[in-house]
Amino acid sequence: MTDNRSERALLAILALELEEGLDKDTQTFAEAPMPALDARVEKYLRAMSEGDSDAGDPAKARELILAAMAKDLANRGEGNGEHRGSFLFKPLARRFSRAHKPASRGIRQAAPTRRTRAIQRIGTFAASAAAILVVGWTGAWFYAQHSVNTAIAEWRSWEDKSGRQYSCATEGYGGTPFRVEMICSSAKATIITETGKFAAEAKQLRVAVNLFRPGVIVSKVEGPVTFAELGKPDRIAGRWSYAEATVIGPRPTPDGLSIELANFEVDRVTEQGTEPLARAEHVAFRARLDPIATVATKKPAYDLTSDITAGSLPSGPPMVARPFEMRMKAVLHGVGDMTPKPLPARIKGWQRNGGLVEMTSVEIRGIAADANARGTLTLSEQGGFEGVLDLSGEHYDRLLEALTGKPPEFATRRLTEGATKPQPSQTERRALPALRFEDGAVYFGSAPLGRLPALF
Amino acid sequence: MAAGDKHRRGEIALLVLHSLPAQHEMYLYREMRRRCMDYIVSLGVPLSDRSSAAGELLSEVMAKLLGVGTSSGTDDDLQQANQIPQSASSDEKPRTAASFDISVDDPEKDERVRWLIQEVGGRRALKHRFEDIRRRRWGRAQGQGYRFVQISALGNADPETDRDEEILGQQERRDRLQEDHEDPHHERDVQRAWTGMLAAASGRFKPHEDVRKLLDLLARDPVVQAGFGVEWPIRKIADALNVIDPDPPWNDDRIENAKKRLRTWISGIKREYGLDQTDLMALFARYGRMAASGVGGIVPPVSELALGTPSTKGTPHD
Repeated sequence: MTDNRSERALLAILALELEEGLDKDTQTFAEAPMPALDARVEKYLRAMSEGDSDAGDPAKARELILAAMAKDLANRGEGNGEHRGSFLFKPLARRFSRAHKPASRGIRQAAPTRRTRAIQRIGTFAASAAAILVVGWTGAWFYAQHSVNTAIAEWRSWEDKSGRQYSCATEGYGGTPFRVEMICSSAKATIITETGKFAAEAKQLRVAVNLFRPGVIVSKVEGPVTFAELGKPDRIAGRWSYAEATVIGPRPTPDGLSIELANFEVDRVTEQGTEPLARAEHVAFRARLDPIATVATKKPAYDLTSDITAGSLPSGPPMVARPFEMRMKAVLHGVGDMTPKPLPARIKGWQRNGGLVEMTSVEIRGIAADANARGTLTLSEQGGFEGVLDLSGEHYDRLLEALTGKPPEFATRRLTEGATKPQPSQTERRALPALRFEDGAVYFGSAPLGRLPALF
Repeated sequence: MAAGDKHRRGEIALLVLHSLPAQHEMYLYREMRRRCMDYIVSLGVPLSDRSSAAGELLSEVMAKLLGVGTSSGTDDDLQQANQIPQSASSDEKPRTAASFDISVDDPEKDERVRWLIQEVGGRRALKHRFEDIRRRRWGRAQGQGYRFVQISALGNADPETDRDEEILGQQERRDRLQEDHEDPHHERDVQRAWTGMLAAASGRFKPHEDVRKLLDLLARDPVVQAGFGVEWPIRKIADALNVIDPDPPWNDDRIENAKKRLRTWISGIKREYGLDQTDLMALFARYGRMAASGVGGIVPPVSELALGTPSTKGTPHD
């Protein structure tokens, strides 16, 4: 409840004013004040009333202008980093400009020695400014390196408690002057779950923080990457030309996360040979904190977007076994606490917390057929997918065949058991039987497509 | 054009408007109204809706023009404020206000008026303002147009208000049951102003900065709030902050430094937008409403959630 105490504190803050001579720069600026709110309201009313100063509602005008001011204030807040940077360099730049300012013509002709002195002054100033800049920048860089080290140590401790341990054969630092970059060669992760102990290895991992954007952590993983259960010969091997993950505002709950991969290939390597699992020319995934849903539910909710170009899952259903493109938009609800815990336990907690993924738009463009889908997915108590995705698409028969892998006649017969019989060879976009998920089992209408593994 | 340049042009436009004599000002408004109507007509809006649509567009143009503040106080900003670009092209060098061809008698020949009309009444500018109106009403356009809404929602002129009402409503209803206040709207405004101030501060100060920590405490802690009188309860603030975030310890000097930065920020906003204490509270209340509804890209502060339920949030004095 807001009471008088709260208001008293608020008014005390809002009453703060600069004292005389406290800030020279801002005092100087105050000499050119902007119009007061009342004057702005008056102008607005004049503009809207076409000369009749009594027309219009001042309260409404005031509200409109305050709303515009709030937006203006918000826009300025976004550019603070830039502003602070320029604030740092502007005094130096001004000083340098003054040093370059030519003397008046008369003085130039009469006093050549002054020019020499001026050049000396410029040289001295430039040298001292450069020295100060180098020393200051170096100090800032080492401070940032210390901060990155601390953040990485905290993150390792958090991951350790979650059952994941990381190590590097060698560690080094680079990225000067504008970034701090931690380079971890032969990176190794050990993951302990209820079902076993797994190890992941990568050729190199780079974690970088830009000095101008300290809240954004960018990591790049260099392939090949392998993932295997300890003591077993089979493994998953991944390669790519480019892999980058970015975390924005990492604590306490991240504001955003993005992952980008290019020329991505994943294979299962066994004693019998190599089996391709997934391919993609480009994969992008982004999660961003949704302020509206977060405030409304008082729990973090994330907007998810994903974009796959020339992707394929050779052992998947026919539709995705050959190159396809996919765009997905969704909202992830029910993200719980961020205390460290193993991934299966986290997913289980999410399920118990009423977690769901609201798929607002999924578009798949395949060689054989296209489809759009929307719906909601959750997890069952056993960790299997649950939910319904409503489908629509063109080339009904082709889509049917692409999903089921069966000829249209067969698939149509299965699908229409107890449902309206679709017209053959339809080419117009229309609603299709829904894609259903029942504890991991996937159905297209009543036709079973397969089963997805449980997540915990 | 960079965002900073755009903002400076906005500031300059307001200063130019402020410098116009009444006759010029009225001519400008008439011309703007005519241009808004021409733009609406060019969109093929039905005859019956043209007048209201043009009025709405003019209102948007004026609100945008009148809603800007100055940039943070540096010498360069002052210099910029006294310079007026010659045309919309950012490549051309700016010139000083003194070099304008001012015509006292004929507003049509006054270069300030001509520049201002070009700046805020050009087709591109009107297109942007019209898009602002549509976005406020329908959201951002996606690949296949604007989002669909229920017909029942069309009657709501200000959806963000409804959103905000919904969020704050539950808490308010509970509060009203507990205590009978003379003006419940005032209480809600104070709540929103706190939310807005925290959200605005989150755009200006980083979470680890002392100012943010100080503001978060003042927003949440009823014991510290109760200590405000003629002076700030510096001792109480230090004690409370030492419980929440003791490393490094808080002392009077550290709090005074944070307060000094807060003072610079608050007085800067007041000066830049021409606001007094009451207006600033209204501005923060408006900002808080937008933050709660996620309008205008304003993200609510993390502590805003706690601010909504102070009675259930733990404080150092609990």
